[in-house]
Amino acid sequence: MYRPEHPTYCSIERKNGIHNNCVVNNEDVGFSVTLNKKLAKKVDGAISYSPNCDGNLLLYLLTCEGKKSDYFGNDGYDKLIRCMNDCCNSWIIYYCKKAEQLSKKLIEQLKKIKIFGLHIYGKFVIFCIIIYIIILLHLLHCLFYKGGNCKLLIYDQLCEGVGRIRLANEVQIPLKSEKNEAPYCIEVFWQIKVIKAIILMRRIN
Amino acid sequence: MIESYSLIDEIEVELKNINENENNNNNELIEVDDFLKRIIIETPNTPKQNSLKL
Repeated sequence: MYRPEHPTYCSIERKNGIHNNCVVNNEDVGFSVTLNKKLAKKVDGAISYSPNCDGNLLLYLLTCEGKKSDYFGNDGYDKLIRCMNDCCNSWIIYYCKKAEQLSKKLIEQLKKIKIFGLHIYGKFVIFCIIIYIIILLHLLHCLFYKGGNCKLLIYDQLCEGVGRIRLANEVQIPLKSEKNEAPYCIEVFWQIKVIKAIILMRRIN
Repeated sequence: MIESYSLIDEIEVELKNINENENNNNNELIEVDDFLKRIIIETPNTPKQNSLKL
């Protein structure tokens, strides 16, 4: 981000073709741990962290995936969760590789790593009102309301080898019809919610 | 603005201590391979979107 006081480099990235979700692959691990090779996937936004000694390496603290408000698929959510999983593994593998051996204290610290994800998606609400008319006809009235939902998720390790997804915050984003694209949602997020996310992230850790 | 990510600082300090063999008893150290085998999560636990609670 801008002028970090921390000596390492933090940045906000948006969808611009340079964002990869993780650095993990079989060769990187180098042990008998079996991991499928991860392919680079773009997400719509991210906050990354680059350690001082590995300026080109990006470890992700927060990833963001947004969809149009009229998109009803669930693939954005699944993609985000998998991305958070990969990012969490990336952190652990990176620091493990830097150590000759691991102390119990370091292991406990690694287990505290939390990855944040922001899922922005359309809200589709159906109110079904059954009206009984005199002649026993049923009238189904469906009212469609479209808006935006924004969920801040936390991914951490419940115990060894088990990930956990929790919901940290959820807000409604009112969308204008002419601006109901994901980038608009993300823009709203960056302007408003990223601050809360960062504050929350610091508070938790 | 991210001013600090204290957990990272703590991890890096501990890494430095381990690699310099400071404040560590060898009996308490664990092999990296063994730990990674246990800790790495291949298949994420993905609860349904609507099941997440605040």
